[in-house]
Amino acid sequence: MSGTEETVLLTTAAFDARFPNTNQTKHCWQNYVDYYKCISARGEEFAPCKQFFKAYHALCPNEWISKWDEQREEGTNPSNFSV
Amino acid sequence: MGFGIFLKANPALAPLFLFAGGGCAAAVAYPLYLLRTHPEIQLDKKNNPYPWQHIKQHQNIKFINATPDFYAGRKLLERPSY
Repeated sequence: MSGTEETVLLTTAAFDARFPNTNQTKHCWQNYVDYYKCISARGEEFAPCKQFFKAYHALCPNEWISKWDEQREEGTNPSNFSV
Repeated sequence: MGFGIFLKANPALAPLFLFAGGGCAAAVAYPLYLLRTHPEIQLDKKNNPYPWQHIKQHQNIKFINATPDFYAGRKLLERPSY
């Protein structure tokens, strides 16, 4: 065992008063849409957008993320990603 | 007319009609109230498509709140914005 220990910070999506109930579907969707709106408004390198990215990766089932990503690439995603 | 006469003949039944009538009124009024205030119901798709966005981070939308300090402490939180 090495002498140095790194502390790993584990976080998940923070509490959002807009979605206080067990059903977090809309929370997941809202973060997904907000991330892509953030990207299109501020560019991919804008650091605060990462908060939305981490939130939707924590909340959304991976199948939904890949389905929405495919739809986005095809242009068939019904959500509005423009600010 | 017939109801008034019936009630005068049986005054002991008045509380029954009071509470049952109140319950019926509540059964009508509560859904209408929800239509107006619930954050997940979209009524006006054009002007208010996302009603849940109006909820502030220090606002509690549930009926019972066992930890009011939690919400009070969120008054200074800023919404991550882009």
